Amino acid sequence: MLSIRNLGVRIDGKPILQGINLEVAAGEVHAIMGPNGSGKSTLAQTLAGHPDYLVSQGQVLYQGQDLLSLNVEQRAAAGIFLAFQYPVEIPGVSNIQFLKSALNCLRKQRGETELDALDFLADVKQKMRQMQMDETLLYRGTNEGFSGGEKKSNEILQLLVLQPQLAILDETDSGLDIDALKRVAAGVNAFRSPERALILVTHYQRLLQYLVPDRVHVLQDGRIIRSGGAELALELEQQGYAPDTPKDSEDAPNQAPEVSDDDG
Amino acid sequence: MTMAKRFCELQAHAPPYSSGWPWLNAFRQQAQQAFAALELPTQQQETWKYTDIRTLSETAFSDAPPPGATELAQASSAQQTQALNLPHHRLTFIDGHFQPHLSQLGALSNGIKLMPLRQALEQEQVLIENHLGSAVEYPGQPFAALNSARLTDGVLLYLPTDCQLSQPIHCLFYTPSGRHSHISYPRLLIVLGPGARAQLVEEYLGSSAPPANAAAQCTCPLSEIILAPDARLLHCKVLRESPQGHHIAGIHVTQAAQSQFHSINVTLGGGICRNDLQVSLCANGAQSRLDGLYMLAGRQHLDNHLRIDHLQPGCRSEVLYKGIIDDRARGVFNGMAIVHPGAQQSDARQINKNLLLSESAEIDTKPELQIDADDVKCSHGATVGQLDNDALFYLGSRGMDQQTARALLTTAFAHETLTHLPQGPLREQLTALTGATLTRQAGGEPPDALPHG
Repeated sequence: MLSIRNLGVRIDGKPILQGINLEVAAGEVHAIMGPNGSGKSTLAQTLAGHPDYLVSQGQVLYQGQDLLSLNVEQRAAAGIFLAFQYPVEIPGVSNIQFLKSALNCLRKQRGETELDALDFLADVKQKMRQMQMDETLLYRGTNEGFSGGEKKSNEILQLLVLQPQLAILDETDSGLDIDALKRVAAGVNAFRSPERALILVTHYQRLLQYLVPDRVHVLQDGRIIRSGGAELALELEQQGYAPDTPKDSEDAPNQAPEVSDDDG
Repeated sequence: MTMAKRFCELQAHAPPYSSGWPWLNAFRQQAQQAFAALELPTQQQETWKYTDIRTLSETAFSDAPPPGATELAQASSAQQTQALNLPHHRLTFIDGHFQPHLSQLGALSNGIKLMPLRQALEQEQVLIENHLGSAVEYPGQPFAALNSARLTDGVLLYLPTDCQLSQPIHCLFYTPSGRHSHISYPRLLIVLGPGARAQLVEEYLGSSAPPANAAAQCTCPLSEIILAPDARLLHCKVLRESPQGHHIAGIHVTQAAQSQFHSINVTLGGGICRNDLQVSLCANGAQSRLDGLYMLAGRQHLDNHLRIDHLQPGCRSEVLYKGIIDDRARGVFNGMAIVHPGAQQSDARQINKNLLLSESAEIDTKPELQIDADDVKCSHGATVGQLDNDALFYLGSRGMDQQTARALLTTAFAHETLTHLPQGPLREQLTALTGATLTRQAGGEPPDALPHG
């Protein structure tokens, strides 16, 4: 579904990602872990299409098409969703208005008709119950004055309503207490299906107890230095992202610098 | 030739409407003298620093004649298709001339008086003598003096004690476009007795598609609002003139104890526009909420000058003005709250927020406080910014195209000023009207047409 090849990204001229390679197949869950400043959020924002992140090298194929040639809303229409680490507060745009505008824009881009207002509301409310969210949040400004947990739950509500193909969750677990974490994880698990894929960007192993990944990757200094199965997350939890992490581990992916950007 | 000189010359000829009522003649004459003694404002004066009215004072405006068939047809069509749809009580004017056939003055109970001012000058002389001019002082207000000197028609609204009107009164002033430059001086006198409640809308509407050679027009209205103890007025002004429609207006308010004045001042179109809104909080417990929203585009110029005098203790004023300025348009905001000596426990707040959507758009904002009492709560602030890129990215990441995202954000910014309006047709229509204007500015299609019954 997603194929990242030798991706390099700069912000304000400074290299942040330096040759990322990652393959994500439909149905898979990948966790990207790593210390602060390793480039995890940059990867997430770049995939979503943030204009400040300049791709300096490499290629990203999503469902066979060149993802980097699409702007942010085209990527959303193609089925990519980023759950923000810091969801933006938008006073004056109610949550329900936000969801409705987003869904109708997505449907329009896909050549589908607008959803019936009543059906839409019923669907949103059902998903809010699933997330154990207070319905009054629908009529407040989007994320305006929401608690940390409410903001993260709201991101997952959007995920459930907008039904993307590839969801990237950027530190969705940060700042959540254990109950909120379980609710968020349950929401994400409800999203999972053999046709969909998930990339979890996280600092801690905690979330991965509830959302078990197929693959775990360790990002450091803009490169994936290790990859492994779900057990790698546990190991990292016990040992930290210590500098003695073996750089030539058997689990390390083939960093294949020969993959060039004229490929395909 | 300045407008002042020209005006004095015009006075040498017979005035357009002469009254057999000596009081009124004296009232006009006194105002004329006051006007003649005042120079027309220039940018040398602090209160007119950012507003250049030379193009106005150099235009040979003549008093607008009564409308012909063409103007009537224009106005009738505009009333049906463009104007707010508040049909319960409506007074429609064309170039300042009252149009009974376009108006709706249903039966009103309990001694309510709602009529064209011209009729009131004949029939309600005691009321007029007691109130006309009582909320206005001419020094520093040449256009208020000019309006008084030239006043011929407008609106009288009088509500006796404890009388309540549930439906808004709609005063529609239509400015037709044409090849000659005309000026009109509508006057509104609004008097609410103790405990009375009303809503009044002043809408100034110009041609939506003026011809390329349309001449400049000018409207110079003055509203006097006098609120008795515990009276409550919602006053809404909507300015939608064509780019050739200039507008120099005053709204002067005096408030007695426990009275509440809520003003919502919406500007969507016009040429050179100026609003002087002056509120005197004259007795304990009087409250004013002044909300404003302006969306300027093209080469429009809007100057909102607010002055709130806290004359007695325990009064409250709250100002929220927000503007969205595009193209080469320019906005000016000046809000002055004065807490007079002895006006303890005054609560005065002012906020002016602006969004600039283009490099050439401009805002000059200056909220001011002058405090001569020590036990007060006062605050003021102003912001100028662009649309939040993080928010635009967030909306984009959910599939919204740039036009939709921009329209959504600007609309959300703007509509904060409408949140204090009571639910009802006025709020709904202002929301739809401003939303459609913003969506159009953002380059998209308006979501829904303005509902018309």
